[in-house]
Amino acid sequence: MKKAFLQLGFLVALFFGTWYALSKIDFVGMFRLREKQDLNERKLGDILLKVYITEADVIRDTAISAPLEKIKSIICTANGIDSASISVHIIDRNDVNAFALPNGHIVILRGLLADCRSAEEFSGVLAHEIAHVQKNHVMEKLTKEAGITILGVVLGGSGSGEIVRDLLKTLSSRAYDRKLEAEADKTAGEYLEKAGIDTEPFANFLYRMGSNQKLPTGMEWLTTHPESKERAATILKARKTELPHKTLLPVDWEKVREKAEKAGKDEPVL
Amino acid sequence: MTNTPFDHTPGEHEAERASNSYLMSVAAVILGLPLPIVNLIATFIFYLGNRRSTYFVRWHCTQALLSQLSLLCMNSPALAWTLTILFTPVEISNAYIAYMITVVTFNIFEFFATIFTAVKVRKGVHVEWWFFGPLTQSLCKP
Repeated sequence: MKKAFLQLGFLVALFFGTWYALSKIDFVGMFRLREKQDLNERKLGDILLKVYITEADVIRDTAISAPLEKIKSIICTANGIDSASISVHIIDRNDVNAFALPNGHIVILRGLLADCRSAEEFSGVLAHEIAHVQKNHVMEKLTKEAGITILGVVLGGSGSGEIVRDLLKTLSSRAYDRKLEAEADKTAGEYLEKAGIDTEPFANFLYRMGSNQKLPTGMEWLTTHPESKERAATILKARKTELPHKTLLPVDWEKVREKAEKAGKDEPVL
Repeated sequence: MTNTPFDHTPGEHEAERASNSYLMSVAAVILGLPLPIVNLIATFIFYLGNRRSTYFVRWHCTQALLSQLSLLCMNSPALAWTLTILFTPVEISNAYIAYMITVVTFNIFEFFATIFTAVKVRKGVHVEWWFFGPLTQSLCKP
């Protein structure tokens, strides 16, 4: 038996030794897997956006888009993010919602603009979506919920419109899991602080959203994302009060709201 | 892998059955590639069917069965890791690629070793594998 164990030891050592030695080779770099992943993300983001905007009305009014671009630029510049890598698309829908697609596309629904009471509130929402993009939460969520095979089918061009719509629903209507939402909130807070924007309006916005949620007391654990009031409390807890916050961003938010409230028709997209 | 003398010369029928235990594991390896447990189950069923056979046949059925255990140990993590990459946010890493190359290499080596053994055993030659030979020797009594 001693001989058998010696031979077993040799075989195990040979197996793990081979694995260890091979793992020192940079296969990921050699086969350019990261570049391929980035390319796939870009393609996927463009496919999803194309389908979404062909079935929705895009608001191109510069009176709305220019202030949003300004806010995006302030947040990105302060945090060393390439502003051009984030594209904001405003969609003519009443829902109070915003979501990120792969490749840095952020979709803002008109209802959200009308619901935000200040540019600072909106900047919190935008910072939250930028955080999802920067932390790669979008691809993480898609991979988790759809699987890499489905994504491959869509990228290969053989995916039906139904699959693409399902992916869009996943990104637009289902929340990220608690951990990712909490991370995006925390990162958004940091982005805002660095940009000199007070995080309190963002917390207020979430609190107000929380007041509209119809979830029975004690059932909060059922929801997949942290309760908005809970999220607002966490943001306020992390808020750095000693910072010289700019009380107002250099945009006329009332004008944006007014335009958003008046903008076009509202038809269901998905 | 060594050709060692056996205490009796197996007959034609014995050599064929003993050789079949390896061929069974080769066929099961091909069929069971996506699910490593398949080849183990197939070889185990063949082993059960021959456990009342002659010592030579039992010995080789046992060695074939034990050799499948090593494949199960190597291939199961490979399958689990691949599924994790396919269905969770875990990304392909150098460690994963290295593991897959290692596993495929060991599988290929074992595949050819199994065919080689099946041919030898069919001719009545007793072949003992490294580790599995001495282990079988201690488990399988005349």
